[in-house]
Amino acid sequence: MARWTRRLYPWLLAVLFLAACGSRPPAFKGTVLNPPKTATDFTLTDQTGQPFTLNAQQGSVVLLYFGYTACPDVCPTTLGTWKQVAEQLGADAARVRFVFVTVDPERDTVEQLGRYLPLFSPDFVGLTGTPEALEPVYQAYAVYHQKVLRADSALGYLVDHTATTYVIDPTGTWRLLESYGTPAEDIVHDVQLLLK
Amino acid sequence: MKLQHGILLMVMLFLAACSTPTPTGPSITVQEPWSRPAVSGEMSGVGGIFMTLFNAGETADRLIAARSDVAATVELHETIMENDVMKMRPVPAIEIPAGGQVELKPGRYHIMLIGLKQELQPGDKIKVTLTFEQSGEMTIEAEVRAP
Repeated sequence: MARWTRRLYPWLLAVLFLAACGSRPPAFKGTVLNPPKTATDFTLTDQTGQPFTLNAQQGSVVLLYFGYTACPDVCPTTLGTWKQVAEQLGADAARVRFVFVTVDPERDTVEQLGRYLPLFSPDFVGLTGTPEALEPVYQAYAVYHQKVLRADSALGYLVDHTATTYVIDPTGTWRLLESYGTPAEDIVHDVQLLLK
Repeated sequence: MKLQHGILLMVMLFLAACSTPTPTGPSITVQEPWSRPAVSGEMSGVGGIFMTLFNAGETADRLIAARSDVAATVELHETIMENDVMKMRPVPAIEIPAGGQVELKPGRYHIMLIGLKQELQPGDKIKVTLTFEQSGEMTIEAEVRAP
């Protein structure tokens, strides 16, 4: 064997080793909570006026998002992504709850959520409540939300808010964060891992 | 020799004068305007319209207003994402650079419809009149796309 080939071997091995490391896919696409936390339970009112309790959803994966219906940009983008997630999951979608919690209870009444959510899917859940009922939920999931008064908008006020999707597994453990803009395929991948 | 140099200089000056005409004004075109489905309502009915604005001219222009029969108020808004926190703000104008483009897209700019007088259903076409600082008014049709 030529000397140059022999000299090349350690390098070749190193490259193969690195390639092997790089090709191992990470278990989850989203940000993993380490250690995972027990998802804080809450009961709020859904878009049909019925109480919705988080702990009653055990057995399903819960995708939790905080937004408001007067947000025409980021919130419908996320709900549109969820619609794709549900379609791509097929039969598995029956074991996933898609839950939209308002950060604008003043405008997002039961009736308003009841008109808004079906734009995306009849299966999505929209939750509202009194500010007193909602505040502990925002705190439990560290949801930033800030009402911003604007005299230069007919809306009167806008709401700055966290645009992250929170992922809770079928045992009621909060496992992952999916940041805004995460593709549907990545969320499907993570949900399927949690459903196994 | 001297005369030849003189002629050459004059020709060069002449050519230089020809190649620097006064800049043309802005020339705006709109590509793929679209909207999302939305519910109607005096306060609760809001929608966003998105598009790409091109400016083939040599002067910048600014989108300064928009109006539509489907909404009580139409505003120009910007979305800012900071550490996964969404902030939406009204802006007085959106600049379209000379020879450039600006995208009105989710996470960037949108035309905000407030107080929708009708539901926006997939397939609907909404007429919106855009007002540009230099180019004046232009009416476009945005198609409502399914989410």
